[in-house]
Amino acid sequence: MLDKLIKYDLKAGGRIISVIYLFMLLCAVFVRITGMLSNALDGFIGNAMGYLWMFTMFIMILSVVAVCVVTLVLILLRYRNNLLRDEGYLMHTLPVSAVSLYFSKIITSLIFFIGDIAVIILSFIISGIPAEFGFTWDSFVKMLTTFHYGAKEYGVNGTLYIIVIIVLFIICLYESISQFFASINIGYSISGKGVNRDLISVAVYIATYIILQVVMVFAIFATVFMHGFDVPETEMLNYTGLLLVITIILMSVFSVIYSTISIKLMQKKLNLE
Amino acid sequence: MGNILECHNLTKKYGSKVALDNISLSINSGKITGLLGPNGSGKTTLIKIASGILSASEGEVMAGGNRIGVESKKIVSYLPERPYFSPGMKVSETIKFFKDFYSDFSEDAAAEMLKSLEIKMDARIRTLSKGNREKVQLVLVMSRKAKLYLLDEPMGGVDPAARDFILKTILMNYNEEAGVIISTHLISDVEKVLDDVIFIRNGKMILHESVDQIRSEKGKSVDALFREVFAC
Amino acid sequence: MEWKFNNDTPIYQQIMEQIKAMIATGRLKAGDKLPSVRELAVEAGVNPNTMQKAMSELEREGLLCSRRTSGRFVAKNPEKANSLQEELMIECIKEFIESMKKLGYSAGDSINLVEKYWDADI
Repeated sequence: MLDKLIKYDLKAGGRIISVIYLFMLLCAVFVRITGMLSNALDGFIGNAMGYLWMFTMFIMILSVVAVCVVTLVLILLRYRNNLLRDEGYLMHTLPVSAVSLYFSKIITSLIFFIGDIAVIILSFIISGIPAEFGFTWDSFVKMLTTFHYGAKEYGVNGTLYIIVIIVLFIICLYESISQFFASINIGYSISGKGVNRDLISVAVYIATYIILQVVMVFAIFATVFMHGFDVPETEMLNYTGLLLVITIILMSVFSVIYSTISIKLMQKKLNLE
Repeated sequence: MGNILECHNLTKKYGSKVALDNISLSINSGKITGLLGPNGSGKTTLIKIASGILSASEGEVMAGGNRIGVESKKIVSYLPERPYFSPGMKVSETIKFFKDFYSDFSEDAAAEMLKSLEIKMDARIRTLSKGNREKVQLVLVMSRKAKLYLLDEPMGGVDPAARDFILKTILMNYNEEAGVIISTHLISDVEKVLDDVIFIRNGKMILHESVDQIRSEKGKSVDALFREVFAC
Repeated sequence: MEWKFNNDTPIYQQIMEQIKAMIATGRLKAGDKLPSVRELAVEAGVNPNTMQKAMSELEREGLLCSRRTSGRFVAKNPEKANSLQEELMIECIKEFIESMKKLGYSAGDSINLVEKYWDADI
């Protein structure tokens, strides 16, 4: 049943997201074309193209921001409306567990965010902007290989390091999403007249955000403290790697906590109005 | 025939407020039961617990022999008072949705009923009138071959012709293997259709009898008895 | 079939009375096949169990008979039909007499009134 839930969640968000993706890709194409034209042509038209190029590049950057914001808003609204408002009467009486309902939302959210990143990167490549600043595929590969060999000299596995960074990124994404969801669940578990559950959710989110920052700072300080402040250059990579791993562990713990809160609240304290 | 709904010492509290107070009852399949009581008496709470939307504070509830959970939801068909489809969905999409998640759903039955109501398949829910929206939900709920139908105030705010349609649909879908629970305060409309009635007040069950019994023993309609019992 | 129900007596009894009336007046003739319980219930707008109970009782009283595969039929029972008609007629007359007594009329007055209004268009 989880796959069916995912299918419907993807369909629900997919319509809007794909429109924005399309827009962003079109912007990228325009940037590319105007860029090529302004380079190829001289005189008045060449200059005009140059200005157009900058303008469309500006629009494209805006659309990158728009994609991220819209995705987040879409995900949060869908979670709230589908599970904690009127649609909840339908969803929570389906023969599926609260766990499935939850993970369907999480998985589709991850898919949308990763999709955002992929389409953003694709747009940048299409637009030719990286090339303007000297980033080509070759330079990218060169950067990676340099890193790999450099790391090796310090006795650190470069590829492993990159993998850790990617894992960290995904865990942070999961943690962020689960933190938002948990805040919404907590806010919506309060019942009473004249209570604005959205406002409470926002307040809870701010609280969880503060908690996260405090814990992170504390953890990093603790690690630094234990290791001492003098870190030889040769150890720097290992050291930062350690910090990354600690962050991964912390984020994982928070992820589990927030996911558990969300699921338990939906199982036991569902308070649909 | 067996027990389609069983409650043992069911209690639901919201903080200090007691919504359901130690309710024990059992309802057999093949019966259409009316859950009657004034607003705030606990009828909706009881139905929400049986459907799995709310969890009990104490006590046990079984539907079709299963504790309330994923298994019971497979055989319970719930019609809430609220609109529960996303407004942007088309009627045809709601049918697909039910078909996807409920193995006991009959697409043909639903399509036929909607056709006789002249509700278009590609109409979006938000374009339908309130009455039609409620009819769509009713049609979908009744197009399942469930063991327990929970209808929460199916006739509130709906015109008399629609009420007749609802009752007719309930009767046409009747089968001995299933039970129907209708919570309502429009008793006189519904009385002829009921086998049994349960009176609830302040979370307590004060009566559970057959309509025939009430009429022959007390010589009055359930509606009249209700007015007496719940006189303010 | 037109069904009318009041709120004070059990519905199955009212159903039985209305079917008996239909048999007595010839609207339902001996050998007529009745629709299924479910169809009747939907038509009358009543609970199927209630309709079933009424049918079973009528069977027990010999007014209906059911054959397993073919359904329910009005029993071929001329004496029964006649006595039904009589029963119904007596009921009607009793009600009339009671009403007239309530209004203060004597037997003689009532009979005169009946004769006077017998052919009138009511």
